[in-house]
Amino acid sequence: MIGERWTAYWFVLPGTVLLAAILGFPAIASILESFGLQGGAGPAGGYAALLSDAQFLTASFNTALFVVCVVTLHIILGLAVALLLNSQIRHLWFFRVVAILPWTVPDVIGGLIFRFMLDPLSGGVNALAIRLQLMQQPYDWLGDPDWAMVSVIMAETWRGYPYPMLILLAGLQAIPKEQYEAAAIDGAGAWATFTNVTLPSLMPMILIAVVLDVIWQCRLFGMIYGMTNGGPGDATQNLSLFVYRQYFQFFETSYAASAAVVLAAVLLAVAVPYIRATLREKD
Amino acid sequence: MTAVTIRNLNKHYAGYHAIRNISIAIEPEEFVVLVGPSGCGKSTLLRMIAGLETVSSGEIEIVGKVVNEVPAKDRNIAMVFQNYALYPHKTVFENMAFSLRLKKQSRDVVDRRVREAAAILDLGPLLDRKPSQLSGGQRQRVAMGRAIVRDSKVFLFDEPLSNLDAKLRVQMRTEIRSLHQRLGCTTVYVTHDQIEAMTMADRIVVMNTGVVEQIGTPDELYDRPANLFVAGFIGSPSMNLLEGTFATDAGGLYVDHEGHRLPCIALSAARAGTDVTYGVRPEHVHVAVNADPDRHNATVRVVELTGPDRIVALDFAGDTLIATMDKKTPVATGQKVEVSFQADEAHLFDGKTGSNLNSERYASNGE
Repeated sequence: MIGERWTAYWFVLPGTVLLAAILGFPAIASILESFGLQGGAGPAGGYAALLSDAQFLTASFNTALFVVCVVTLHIILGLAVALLLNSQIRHLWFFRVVAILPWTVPDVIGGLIFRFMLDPLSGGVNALAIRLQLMQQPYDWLGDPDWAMVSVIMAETWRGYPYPMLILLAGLQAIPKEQYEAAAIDGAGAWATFTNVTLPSLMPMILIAVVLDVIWQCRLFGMIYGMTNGGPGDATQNLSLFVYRQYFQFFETSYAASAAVVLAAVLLAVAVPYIRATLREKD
Repeated sequence: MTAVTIRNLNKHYAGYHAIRNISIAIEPEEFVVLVGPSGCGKSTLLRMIAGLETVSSGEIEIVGKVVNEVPAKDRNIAMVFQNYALYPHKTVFENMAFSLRLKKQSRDVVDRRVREAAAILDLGPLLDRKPSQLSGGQRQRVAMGRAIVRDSKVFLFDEPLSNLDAKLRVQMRTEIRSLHQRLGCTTVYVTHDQIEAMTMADRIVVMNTGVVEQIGTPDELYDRPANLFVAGFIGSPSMNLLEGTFATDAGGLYVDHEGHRLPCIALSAARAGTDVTYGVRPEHVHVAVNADPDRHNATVRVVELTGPDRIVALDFAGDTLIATMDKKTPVATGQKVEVSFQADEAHLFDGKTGSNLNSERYASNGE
């Protein structure tokens, strides 16, 4: 028996070594870097400085605001589209393909597309709004700190909603149709069926979609980089951009690593309950 | 007034005629079982009565009211599904209370009716549990409780015992039957299991490929099957069916099966030389184990002990013949035996149409 157990360990060894090399090495290197152990600021100096860095605090606030808004909109829009795609409509395959298309656009490209669309001189959004007489003059949406954040949130809502939508669609399709039939016989209308059958059955999938989307949106870089590069000023700068700038523009490697470790710790705090729930289900 | 009347009912799906001109009248408090093989349309028919499938043509009447266009919730029916269809996030109490809450019944009424139903079904101690914490039989009882609470005129069951193990199935069969006797509600019950149908029904509707093959009491279906399909479907082990032709000799009419003389009663419709299927129930195959060797006409191939009886598979004139025998009669695989039949126990089916030719005799006997 003991021999067999050791044989099993030999089988998992290559995978373990590979994972340790790919995931473990950069993680440990970053943590060491963040404490200045590779020749930067003194131990924990970076972390202390983060707390009084207005840019870091703004980036943290921007990240929180962006994530809350985008994830909320993703779930609402994703659920609405999933409900439509789960219904008996003609040419369903066509609508399914169209609904997933935004997910196929790389996030930097998505950012650039929206940047062009919102351009005050050549952008289609201004031209359309003026033609529809909704406004008199073109507006520099991305030059206004408030509208820039709204624009980034809208752009990422469009680009990223198919992912939660697919999770929720899979969840919807797993609800037995007999539950809907039982509800129909019990006398439930559309709203009562939605709140008593659909939504409660979908809750585990909504939770999974929220957790994964929060992790994804906290790390978002390409869309904001392509669209506003964190501007105007630092109005749309999130933590990923903050880390990027500290590292590649200001070469504050230890400081950047400290911020990255803080971001990773926050993400881990979000991910751990999800992973535990998943493992518990498997048990 | 009948409880449920179905008149000339049809259901067409794209390119498929699922229900073909079916008419059934179900009396109040009657327990009717729809039985047939997979795809025969029995569940479709039940779902049409429930209002979960639309009607292509024909009429469904529940307690004197045509309900073709009436939504399921207003048909005054209750339905128990094969997979129970309990709401997984609600407790047993909330599952049973849901329909009452939707009708905006007062808290006291909801509480009283749910507890009454729970008492009938012995669910009292389980009211705070979720469906996932219940056994299969308990879930089945909750599904029935949900139906009882609705105080409906007609109960519909769609293969409710299929997900249970064999022992629990037998137990639940009795429970459903005694519940029906206690509540006196009209019940339409779908199953593919003919034993379930035979043990539970007041009347059975045998269906095949969207048509009704026969409607009758379990006894009628067993003793006087209308055609080959019903003869083969009802009964376990099923009826032996031997192909042959009518012939006559000095002894009168008989069926010639591969040179064997199979006795039958005189039928005016029978013409010598016409094809016929000779049906005989396993308990009517008479096996003589101690017959003279020159009378041996069959060989024992398999012997199965079921408990009280033995089921014996015999090689007889190139066919397999199933016989039930008393387990005290010694019989062994490979043994040569004599098989014989009684004319009045045999069923004769038209070789072309499959209809039972004995119906002439049933009519003349006033059966």
